[in-house]
Amino acid sequence: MRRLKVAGQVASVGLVGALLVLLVWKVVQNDRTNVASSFTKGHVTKPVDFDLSRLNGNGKLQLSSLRGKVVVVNFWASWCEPCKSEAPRFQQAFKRYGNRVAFVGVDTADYSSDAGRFLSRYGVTYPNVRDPDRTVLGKYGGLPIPRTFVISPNWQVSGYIFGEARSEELDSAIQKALGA
Amino acid sequence: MRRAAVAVALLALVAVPVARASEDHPTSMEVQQELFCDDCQTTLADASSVSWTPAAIHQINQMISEGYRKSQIKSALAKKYVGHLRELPAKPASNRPSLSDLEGEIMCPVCSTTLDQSDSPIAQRMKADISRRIAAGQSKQEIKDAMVAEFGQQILAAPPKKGFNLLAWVLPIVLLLGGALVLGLLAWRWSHAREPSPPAARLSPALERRVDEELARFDEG
Repeated sequence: MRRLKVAGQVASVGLVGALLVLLVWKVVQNDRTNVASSFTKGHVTKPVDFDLSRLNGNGKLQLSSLRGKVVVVNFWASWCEPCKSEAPRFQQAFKRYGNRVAFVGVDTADYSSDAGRFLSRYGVTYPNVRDPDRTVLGKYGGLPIPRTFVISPNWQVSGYIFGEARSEELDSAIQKALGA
Repeated sequence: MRRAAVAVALLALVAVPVARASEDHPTSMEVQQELFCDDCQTTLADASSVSWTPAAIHQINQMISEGYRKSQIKSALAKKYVGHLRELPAKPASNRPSLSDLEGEIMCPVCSTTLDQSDSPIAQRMKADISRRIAAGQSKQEIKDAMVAEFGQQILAAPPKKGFNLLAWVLPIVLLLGGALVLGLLAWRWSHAREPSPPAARLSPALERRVDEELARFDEG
C-alpha cells in the first residue's frame, strides 16, 4: 500500500514537472518563431517561409522564391479599416519601385469573395495570397492587423510596421532594405 | 429492422398530414420564409428595408384569406416581383437550421469566441452569410462545410468527430473511466486493509485462572 502511495506521488510530481517543461518550451518556441516579437527585441530575424494560394492569380506563391530581392509583406483583410486606408499607398509604392521591390499581400481570416472585391476596389495589382486560418499570420505576430514586414536581399527582416503604414514609414523601411 | 420500418411509417403518418396542412392552409410567415428577397439577401420573413415588401406581404395575407395554396401564392409572388423575389423549396421547419444554432457552433475568426459572442465586422458578415444560406435551404452541415472551406477547420467551435480529432472526444471519456477505475481500486484496497483483525489467541488455563482470581479480589475489595 505504502509503495503504491509513493509511486502515485512520484507520478504526480513527474506529470506536473513535464507540464511545466512543456509550458516553458512552448513560450520560448513561440517567441522564437514570432517574427514581429523577435524583430522588435532586436534579434537578427529571418522571415518565416510560406507557400499560399494566390488570391489574384492561379497557383501558389512561396515567399522564399523571392529570395535575393527586397520584399514587402503586408498582412490585411477586407474587414480591417486601417487596411483600407493603407491599400492605395502599397499600390503606389509597388508602381514606384517597379522591379526593385517585390510586394506580397497576405489576406487573412477573410471571405475570398470579399478579398477579391477589396483588391478590385483599391486597384491592387501586385500578388496577393490567402491565409484563411491565420496560420502564417500567427508566425508573424498574429492579430491585430495590419502588419507589414520588409525583408532585405540577404533574407533578414529589416523593417516592421505595426498598424496602418504611412507612406513615409514605408518608403523609409524600403530604402533601408535597398541599402542593406 | 422491423422496428425501424415501423418508426419510419409512424413518422410518415405524422409528417405527411402536417406538410399537407402547411401546403393547403399556410400561415403568412410560412410563405414569407419560402420566398427569397434578392434585394435584401434574406427571406421575405427577415426583410425589412425594401419599399415593396409590405405590399408583397399584404398580397400574401390576402391570398391566404381567399384560400389559395402555398405553392400558388409563392408562384404568384415570384411572377409579380420577378428579379426581386424567388421561390425557395418547401422544407419542414424542423429540418431548417437556425442562425442561433450555428452561431454557437462557429467561431469568429478574429476574436477567439463563438459568433454569438462577437459583434466584430467579420462576425457580422458571417452571420449575414449564414442567414442567406439558411434562407437558400442549405442544411447545417452544408453551411459548416462552406465555412470550413473559407476559413479552415479552426472555424468550428468543436472538432469534427472523425480522424485524429476523434481523440478530443474520446480522451476525456477514457480519462474519466480510468480515473474512476483507479479510485475504485484504491477504495477496494483501503476497505480490505481495514477488515477486523482475527481474535487474539486464547489465554493459557493457568493465566486465565490467575485473571479470574485477580478480578474476584478486585470485586471483593
